[in-house]
Amino acid sequence: MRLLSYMGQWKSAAKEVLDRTAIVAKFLCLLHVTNNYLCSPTLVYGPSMLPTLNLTGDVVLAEHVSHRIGKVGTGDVVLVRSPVDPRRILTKRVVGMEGDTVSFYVDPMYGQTTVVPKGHVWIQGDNTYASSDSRHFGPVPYGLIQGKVFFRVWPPDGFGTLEQ
Amino acid sequence: MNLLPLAFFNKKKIEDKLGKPLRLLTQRSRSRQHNISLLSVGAFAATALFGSPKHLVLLQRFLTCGLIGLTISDRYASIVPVRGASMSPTFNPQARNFTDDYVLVEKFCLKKYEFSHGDVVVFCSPSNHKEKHIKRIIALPGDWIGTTHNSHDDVLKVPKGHCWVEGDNSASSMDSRSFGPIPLGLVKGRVTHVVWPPQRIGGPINSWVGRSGAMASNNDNGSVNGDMNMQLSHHMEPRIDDEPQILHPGPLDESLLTRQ
Repeated sequence: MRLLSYMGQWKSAAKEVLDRTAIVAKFLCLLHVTNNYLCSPTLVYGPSMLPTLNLTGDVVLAEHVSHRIGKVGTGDVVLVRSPVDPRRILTKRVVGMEGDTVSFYVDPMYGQTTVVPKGHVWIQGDNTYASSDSRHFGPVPYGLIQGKVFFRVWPPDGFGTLEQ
Repeated sequence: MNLLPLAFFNKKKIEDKLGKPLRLLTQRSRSRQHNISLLSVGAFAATALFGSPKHLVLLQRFLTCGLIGLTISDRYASIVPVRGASMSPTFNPQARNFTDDYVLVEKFCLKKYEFSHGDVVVFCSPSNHKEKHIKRIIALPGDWIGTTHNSHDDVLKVPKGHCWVEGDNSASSMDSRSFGPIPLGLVKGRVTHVVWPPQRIGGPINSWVGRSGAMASNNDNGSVNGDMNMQLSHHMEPRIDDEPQILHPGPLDESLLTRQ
């Protein structure tokens, strides 16, 4: 008899646990879709985009809509999966799209010019002295672009869109 | 939580005033009431568009399923059709021209980007980011790949972070022999099983090469893997760890030699 009442309580408790878990699961799915398809905050750090982005770290908002519809262009700061290490994501500026002629200096005395092949982009950090970018590993395929940075959230004195 | 907008839809119907939601919005209240008022405005607007609570519930269910399906196919596994004959006979063998093979693509490999020789992967094409291709990984970063270019052999080292992919059907496959090694970041998943048509359900599609231990474990998986082993064995020698392995897949496009 007591066993039956315990079973009844257990059943209702289990149902409630399942309902709560379903809510959490749905929320996590919404979070995943928003982070990957709409907008996501990212912490970016490193010296390669000085003075646009700080050395010690900025929290920026990146949107993931433009690169899917092909609206990433020259001058955009983008998040790019590194062609050298696929687990790292770099923040660089797009300097040339496919078909553009790009002149660059790897070494201050020696300049080179290349044409960006179809389906690729040329990315460079704003701080050319401390940036490993397309000047070292070549043009990167457009498919590696993860998102476009459009807004800075932290530090507070840098709040706002990024200047060109 | 599913029934919340429905409950407040009823409340709206009873009150039946447009001014009430606006007043609720401008009222300074606790955040919970603010959320509820937004929901009620949303429910009201959606009802005006769709005309009945049943449609609203359907829309909500549809959106929820869409979100869950998108998350699962991005993070865990998805099923994709294989088009074209560049991976015959592994997929779409010539005998059947009417239906495509459907394969299961798993995404767990994207956490660490660790692949083995012989993995069949789905990747974005480096010349057109909207297209996805399915090919087999022949060489991983640091491997030397031997190719034939205008009847003289050439050897390329696969750069760090890149891999060399080829289709099983060398005669009709656009792969690394034309566009060079691809960055591993372009890989979007690994193919593990064939799920359609029913007579070809099988797999797992294993690595077919590597250390001799891996070779032995693949032999009991049935005719599909057996055929793969036979077709591809003349390409690969068993790997000895202390020697750079030279791989000979096929003719090379000239433009590749100017890159390095």
